[in-house]
Amino acid sequence: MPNKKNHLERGSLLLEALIAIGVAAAFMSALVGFSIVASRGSDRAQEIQQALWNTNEGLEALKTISFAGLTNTLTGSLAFTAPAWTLGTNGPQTLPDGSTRIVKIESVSRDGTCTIVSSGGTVDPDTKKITSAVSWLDTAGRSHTTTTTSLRTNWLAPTGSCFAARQAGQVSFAVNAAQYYGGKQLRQLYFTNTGGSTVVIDKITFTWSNGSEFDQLFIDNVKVWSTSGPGTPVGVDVHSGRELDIVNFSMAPAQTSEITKGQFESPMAGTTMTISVTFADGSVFTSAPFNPL
Amino acid sequence: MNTKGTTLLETVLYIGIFMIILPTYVLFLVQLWQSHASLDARSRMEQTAAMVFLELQNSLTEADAINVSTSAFANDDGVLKFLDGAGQLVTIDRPAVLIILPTANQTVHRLRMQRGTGTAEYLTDPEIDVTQWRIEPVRAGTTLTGLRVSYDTAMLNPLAGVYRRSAFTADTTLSLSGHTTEN
Repeated sequence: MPNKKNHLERGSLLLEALIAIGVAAAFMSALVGFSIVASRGSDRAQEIQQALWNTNEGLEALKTISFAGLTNTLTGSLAFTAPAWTLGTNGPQTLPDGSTRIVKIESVSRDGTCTIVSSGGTVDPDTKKITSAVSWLDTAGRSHTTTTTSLRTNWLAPTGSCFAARQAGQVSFAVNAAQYYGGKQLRQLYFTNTGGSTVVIDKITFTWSNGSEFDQLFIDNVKVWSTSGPGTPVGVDVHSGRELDIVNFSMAPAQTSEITKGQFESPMAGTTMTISVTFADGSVFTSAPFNPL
Repeated sequence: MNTKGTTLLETVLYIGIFMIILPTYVLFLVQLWQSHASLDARSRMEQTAAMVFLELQNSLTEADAINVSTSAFANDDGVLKFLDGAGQLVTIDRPAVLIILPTANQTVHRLRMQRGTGTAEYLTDPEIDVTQWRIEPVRAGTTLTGLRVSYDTAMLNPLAGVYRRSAFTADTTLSLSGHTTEN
């Protein structure tokens, strides 16, 4: 019996040692596994961060290229030769960190209200969709991609209608030199077309601070409205604030025109005036109050 | 007696096995710690870089003009000067700053921004050495349309340990708004 007992005790101790080693090994393996997973997570976060830097650089580089230099491509690449980025068509290109980058330039279509549409509409010559995408393989060989997109507009020299300057915005008005000649005739209000396209004056409204009536309007010595025509209203007394639908008056780029005659019925000395000009595109300029001499 | 002898043998065997496993395990843990320390430092530098470029992007978006004639371009010790939306001169440079350490003092370069006559503020903390701050103008034809920035950093006191041996490089381009001119 003692021998059997001893044998059993020896067996139990060996078993305990093996169990202890097994538990320790399992514990260590779990710890190592957890550490490896955590390490891979950190690596992946760094890879993503680096990819975002590269993606953003691609988009920013496209924004530095002139609008005219943005030729449509789905396989674009970028090269920097001081002082300019240039767009190529041999993408995707391999970056120093081993990832690849491709940039895309695409047309954008808009509907009749200039809203961007994904189908239909007409191609807007003043807008491009720019995309930068970076792809890389992680340590496990899995593929990842980050993509960022933006729009470029040809705001500096638009050729389409959606970004064309409003006519009122490209005309400067000078009212400081305005005078009443003979006390009843407004002169020396100047308009200058500072834009690159012709503007058309459609309607004019004057306000003034007495009860006088307005009879005639000449621009550059051409009668554009009077109570007997041309223009409307016709045959009525025109008081302050009445809109005059004049004969459309066109102004070429750089042209300066003058109100050479605004005929009132009564003396106007000391009155305060404003002028509102409505252009053919519906845009309106309204002056601050002014006091002709 | 037999029982005690057998138990001792088993214990010795047990210790022996652990002596084989333990160094490998400890070595692995040390390497893991070093890797994490390096990542931690790199992460810190990346976050600083992200904040620097966010500040720069925001400031440049509203900039009236880049002072090309007084900035120091194409130089690892670059200086960027521009006028902000309020017409104030903004200067971003990297002066050398002495850092007091228990062993030996060290010099680091910190990125600094000064707006108008206001107090200059550092954009990077004293433990990060900006080893390169290089700016190049980017043009479309003759028009200045962006700035290309190379920004390299390393941790202060690189001989002190793994954490200190980390470095980070960010090369990127910042486009300028259409209203931003140059002088």
